[in-house]
Order: sequence, then C-alpha cells, then structure tokens
Amino acid sequence: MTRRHAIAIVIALVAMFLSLAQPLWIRTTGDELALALEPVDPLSLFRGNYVDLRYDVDVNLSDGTAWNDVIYVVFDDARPANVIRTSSERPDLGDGETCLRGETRGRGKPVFPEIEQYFVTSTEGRRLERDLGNMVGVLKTTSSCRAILITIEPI
Amino acid sequence: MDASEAVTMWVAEGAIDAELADRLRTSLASHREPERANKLIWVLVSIGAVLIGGGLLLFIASQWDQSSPMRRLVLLLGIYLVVVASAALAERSQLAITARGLWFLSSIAVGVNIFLAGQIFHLPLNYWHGTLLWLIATLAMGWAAPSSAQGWLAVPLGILTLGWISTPSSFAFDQGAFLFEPGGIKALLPLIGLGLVAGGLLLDETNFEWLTKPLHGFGALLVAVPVTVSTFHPDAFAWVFQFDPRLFHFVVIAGVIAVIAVVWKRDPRSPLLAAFVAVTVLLLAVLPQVDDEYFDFDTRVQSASWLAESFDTSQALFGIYTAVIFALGVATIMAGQHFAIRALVNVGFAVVSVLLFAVYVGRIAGELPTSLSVIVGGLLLVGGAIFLERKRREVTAEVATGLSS
Repeated sequence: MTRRHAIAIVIALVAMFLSLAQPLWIRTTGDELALALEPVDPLSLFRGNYVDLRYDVDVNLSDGTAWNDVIYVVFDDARPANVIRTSSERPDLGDGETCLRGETRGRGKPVFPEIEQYFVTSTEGRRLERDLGNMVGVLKTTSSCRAILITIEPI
Repeated sequence: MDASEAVTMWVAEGAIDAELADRLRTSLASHREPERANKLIWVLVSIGAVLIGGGLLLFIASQWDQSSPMRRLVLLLGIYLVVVASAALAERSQLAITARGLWFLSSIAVGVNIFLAGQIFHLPLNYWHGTLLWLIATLAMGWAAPSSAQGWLAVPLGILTLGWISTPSSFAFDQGAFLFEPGGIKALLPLIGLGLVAGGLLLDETNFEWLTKPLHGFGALLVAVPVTVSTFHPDAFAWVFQFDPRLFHFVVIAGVIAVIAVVWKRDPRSPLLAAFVAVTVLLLAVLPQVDDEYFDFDTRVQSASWLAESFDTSQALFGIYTAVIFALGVATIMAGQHFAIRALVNVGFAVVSVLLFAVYVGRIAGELPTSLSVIVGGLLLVGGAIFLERKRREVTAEVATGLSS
C-alpha cells in the first residue's frame, strides 16, 4: 500500500464520518418538536421500505405563491406542535419555540424535504399505514431551523 | 480500421511487401494475446467486484433489521476495512489488476456506507451531501489507484450532486426530478456537458488523467442528447430549455464558463476551442429566451417565453433552428476528422443520424400515403444507416491514420 492509498483511505474514512456529523450534531444538541402527521400511502414499491411523510401543519399559502421558495415555520412546544408564525427570513426564537426550514409548493402547505422519509421494516411499514393519522413525528431541530427525524410515535 | 486491416491495405497499395506484412502480423499477434488476457482478467475481476459488492449488500441487509444503530455503523466500517485490506494485500502480492478491482470496490463501499448511514438517520433519498462526500472519496481513491472505472463512478456522482442540490424536495420519483423539473438542471445539461469536456481537456496528462475518458463520454452525451431532442418538436424545445433560474444555476453557469475560459486561454488560436466557445455562447444565449412556463392566476392564462412561442407558431423559424443544430452536428464530424478526435466523429454522426430520422418521421412521412411512407421510411432507414456507417468508418479510419502518423 502506497502513501497515496493511505491518504485516499483516510479521506474516505473522513467522508464517511462527515456524513454522520450533521445528523449526530442535531440529534445531540437539538430541541425536540412533535409534529402531527397526515395519513398517506407509506410504502413505495420502487424505493424500498420507507414511509413518505407529510406533516399536518396549519399553514395555507395563498394563490400565486411560488415553488421552491424557502419558508421558515415557527412552532410552540405543544404535542402536536402548533404553528405560531411563518417568515421568509430565519426567525429569532422565543422561549419554547422551535422552527423548521421548508419549501413552498405553490398554494397550500409547505413541504419539509429534510424530514419526509422514515426508513422502516416492511412489517412496521404496514402497521404505520393504518395508524399514521394518529401519530406525530418526533424531531430534533436547531436554532438555524435544520431538523432531523428521530422517530414517529402515537400522539 | 484496426492494424491488421491497415497491413492488408498497405500490401494492396504496394506500400509494403508480403514478407514485411507477415512480420508485422506476427508482431501484432504476439502483442495482442497478453492484452486480451489482461482485458479478460479485468472483466473477471470487475464481475467479481460487483458480485462481492452485491453479496456485501445482501449480508448487510440480512443483519440490518435486527441491529442497533451502533452495530450497523460498526458493521459498515468493518466491511470497508476488510475491502481495503484485501486491496492492499493484492497490491503487495503483485496482483495489479485484482488490486485495481478491489480499490474500485472500496469506492463503491464508501457510497454504500454513506447511504446506509443516512438510512439510520432517516436522511432524505436525494441526500446530496452524501453524493458529494462519495465523489470526494472516489476522486481521492482514483488519484491513489488510477483507473477509468473510478472516473465512470465519479462523473455521474458529480452530476447527481448538482441535480440533487437543485431539487431538494422529496415528492414521488424525486431522485430523478432534476432531469424533468424546470427548477432542476435540465436546461443546463448541454452547458454542463461542455464544461465536462473542457474539464477532460484540462486534466489530460495530469494525475487525474483517468477522469478524461469519462468526462468526455458523459460530456458528449449531455450535449448531444438534449440538443438533439430539442429539435424534435417546438414543445420538445420548450421542455428541454424550460428554466426556473435561481442563484444556484448562475453559480453552475459561472463554473462552466470558468473551466472553458481556462481551456481556451491555454490555446486561444485553436479553431476547435474557438468553436467550443461559440457553442457555449450559443447555448447561453438560448437560456434567457426560454424561461419557466407559468400559470397566471389573475388572467388564468398559461404563458411561455417568446422563443418557444415563436418556434411553435413558425415552422420556418423552427426549421432554421433544426438546420443550425444539423450544421453543428456536421461541423462536429469535420472537427473530429480535422483534429483526429474519434469521439467527436462518432457523436457528430449520432446527432446527424437521429436528426435525419426525426425530420423524416416528423415532417416528411406525414405528407405521404401511409403504405408509401412506411416503405420509403424503411428504405431510407436501411440505406441511410449503411451510408452513414460506411462514412463513419472511413472518417474514423482517417482519424486513426492521422493519430498514428
């Protein structure tokens, strides 16, 4: 093994550890947020065993809203959490407030691409298919509104 | 034309005598056998690497559901280290081709590990940080153990990273949305293709030379396919170049222009590079004319930009556009012939062939009675294919002769 190989292996190991860095950081330092889920057909034949999630947030964007614009949604600490306000700039958070960074999809509810897939076994997926409407997604969020999905559980 | 055919041709032309021809053929045969054996070993090692990779995935899958997150991470790291140790052992045992295959397998293992780790944390399917980290690791391994296989992995990872940055949402089949949505990189694909080709020219004769072939291959594909498809119909043109620009897109465009400018600066007098820059300018000029098609909620009118609309309403204008692309295809063949670049000849012939076929199907066949149009179409297809293939062989043989002289 040459010195170049050693350098390449170290870079590969760093790359693999870096892929864990952000989720681990958010998981250990973030604030908890429980968001109500909408019932959707959770299993995809083509993309393996995971659940596609949609969050039941009380935001209704008006006609003419663009696609792919960033939107910040601020929540209280209830379970499930309620929307306090939305903004296009990163918000300053008060006590007990958490926020999520989402994207607009025209009128209606925004989406939260970072936290919309939950990987499960096929057995658990079938169970979730029945119960998703009565469950919350438990998240960890940072003050910069980045989030990671920890689990989904009954309200 | 391969070397044996060239020898036969020289004998026929009287350039060499039969005795010299025999000696040349014997020499060629003696060199060909080890080369064939090497290729066979490389094919077997590649298949073996893929089988081992598949087996590792199956092993991980069988252990995955029952394992805790920590056990999963240890499993992934352990597998990577086993692959790397095997590669190092093969290298030490002077099994160069096996080692090359195993180093390539280690690059695949990095990606498997990153995305299975992403699964532990429920990260989105189009997790672009993952492809970016995988790309960096692959580039590093390609630098350490040069092989074009690393390049054929690295280049699509780069394209995927750009695409996933452009469309971060997670709707159904979203992993390929960047190729279909106006907010993706669809309209920029030809420009990115030119950037890849330019990058390949820059990396020639460097430590990253193993990337040049994949960069040229993917670059040619990204330029030729969307541009050719855009000539099929005005709607196809509007769809290919439909564009919802954001800051990200301008950064990509600036990056492509920078790479092309660096290549041009090396040899500003080269007509090939001048043509390259001209095509870049043409593609850049098209983009602002075909902005995102949108629905105006006040007027309830769906609108598109002037160029797409003009092509839709004027057959002559769209015909001119098709002719320009056809001329570019022919110019590509001529440039390939002149500068002895076989890939350019092949890409040019592919574009010209598809364009001719599309023009017949779209604009001529409809004017003829059905039976006649089918028969004429078949005859044109067979005759055209034979003619074009003969021309392509002639031109690539000339290119090969040019390269060897």
